Amino acid sequence: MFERLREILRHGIRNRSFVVGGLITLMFFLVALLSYFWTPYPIGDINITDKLLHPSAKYLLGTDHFGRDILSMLIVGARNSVIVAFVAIGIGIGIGVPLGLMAASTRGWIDELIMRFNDFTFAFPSLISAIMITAIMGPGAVNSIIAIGIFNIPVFARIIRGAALSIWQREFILAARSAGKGRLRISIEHVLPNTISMLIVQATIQFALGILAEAGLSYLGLGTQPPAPSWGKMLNEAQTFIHFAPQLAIYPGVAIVLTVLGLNLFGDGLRDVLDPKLRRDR
Amino acid sequence: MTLLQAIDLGVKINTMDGSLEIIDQVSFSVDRGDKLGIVGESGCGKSITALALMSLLPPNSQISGQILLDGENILGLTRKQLCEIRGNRIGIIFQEPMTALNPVKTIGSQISESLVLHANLNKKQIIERVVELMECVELPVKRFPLNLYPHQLSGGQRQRVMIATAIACKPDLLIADEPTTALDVTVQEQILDLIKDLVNQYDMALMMISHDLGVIAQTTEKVMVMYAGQVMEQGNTEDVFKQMAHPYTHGLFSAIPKTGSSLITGRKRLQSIPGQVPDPRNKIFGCKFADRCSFSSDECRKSRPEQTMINQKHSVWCYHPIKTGKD
Repeated sequence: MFERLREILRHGIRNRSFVVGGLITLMFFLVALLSYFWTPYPIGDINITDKLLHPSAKYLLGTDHFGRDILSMLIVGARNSVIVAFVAIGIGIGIGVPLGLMAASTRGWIDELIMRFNDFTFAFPSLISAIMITAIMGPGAVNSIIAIGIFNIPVFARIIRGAALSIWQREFILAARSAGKGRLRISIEHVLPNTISMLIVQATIQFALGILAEAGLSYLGLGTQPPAPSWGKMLNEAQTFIHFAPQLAIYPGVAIVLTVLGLNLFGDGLRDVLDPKLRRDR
Repeated sequence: MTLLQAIDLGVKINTMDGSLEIIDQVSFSVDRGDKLGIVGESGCGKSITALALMSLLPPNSQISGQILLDGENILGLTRKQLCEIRGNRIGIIFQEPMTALNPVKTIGSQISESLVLHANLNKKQIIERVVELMECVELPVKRFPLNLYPHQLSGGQRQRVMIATAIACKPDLLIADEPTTALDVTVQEQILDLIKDLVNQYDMALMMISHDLGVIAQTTEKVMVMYAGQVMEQGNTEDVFKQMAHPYTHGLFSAIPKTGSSLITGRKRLQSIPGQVPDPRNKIFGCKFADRCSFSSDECRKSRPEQTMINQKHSVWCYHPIKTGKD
């Protein structure tokens, strides 16, 4: 296992998007982790006399209209994004992967049912549907996680089914069947391990999309609720002051763009690194 | 004692061109300890016969006839009952050791697969048994630890792993589907010797499928010659090889290059069978070999010849069997 990891790193170090994306992603996670131990100011600290300050030694990135420290809010916002995206991907993988494996191994009407249901959910733009779900169930961090998670399910189900279908044609599956293995065992022991690299890459991309979706929902006021900070909500609040304090919108905006870009680059690089056929050292 | 008996086995595969008859009325039986060879050219239904015996045919195929394992028709069994038989009572070695092993699983875990399913052993016993199997196939664990991946082994070593997985549960019948075709000649000898030794040691019946008459001669006692999904001739290997009665068998033998018949000096040209294997889309009512056979008559094209006995065990499906050898 560690050998494999070392090999991935050895090839990855020569892949530019893997390195750049990996570093940004790593930084993002470290910042999220940091929020548990330290922020320049407690995020609940309202100091109305210091409102809308420009960056200074006291407030590194300035303050918002309540006098809260922007840097502290960004740090805690990172944590918030990580949690939402992580759990949403967990839901997507936890339900989508078994569905995809089941569809590929049984074929027939179960396959049809799963895939048509997939098509059905794909027919709606995911953010719109997430808005619908949070509108019905009520706004809040948990509900937005569920909404984003639900729209991760068909993504994983479809990609795993596609990969599994081609793996089911391979000869080692026939060998496993001739050893007396049933469909469930083959799916778990033979098909799934062969899809892991694809799964990891897709998870990275869905992670980035999850962060975007969370920011979008929070921007609309359907995601994370005050006083917990979120990048999307910071954007929303900055909207009012866009003419005389544009930096309020720029900071969370840059944070979102940088994170999503980093994750996408990382996912892209990871795919190249994990797939020997695409492995050209750039 | 009859271990496995196929009666009027037929396989049809449904394709866009309609239903193709791949195997037609194939009957044979394998006794305990028997060594049966199936020989024929590519596409004659050898491998499909093997898969049919394990009920592993592709989903778009229909199977008819009976396959009796110890008198029980396995075609009537449920999926779960079939899983009990596969790997436990019948083991199979596939042709391509490169693709028949899962690239992301260690060889140890792949050898232990059928043991985990069928044998009543605890973890420690399974590992002991896997080590024992590795020794059996001459892959000493000292040099080949169980946590190796298939890509770290050579083709011959992988085929040894395949053999170990197939015999792990000491099956009654071992099917070897062209086990040496993907290997080079020197390794081929070793693998064949290994299979022969193991079959004797474990007292298994062997079904050797090959297009290579040399392999069949080396490893089997009985042989069945197949062509386009039908049996052409069957009997004891020695009888069939010495007194081949079917023109097709004859053709197969003359297509073997012999020492002394150099292609360069052109002293003796290598014989070939004219024509091509019939397209399974064309319905043929008579003998399927008739179009390529120099002895064929109108009779051959009208109806399929009945089984003709040459001696007690040697029989041929031909209207004009060739008389060779002693008589």
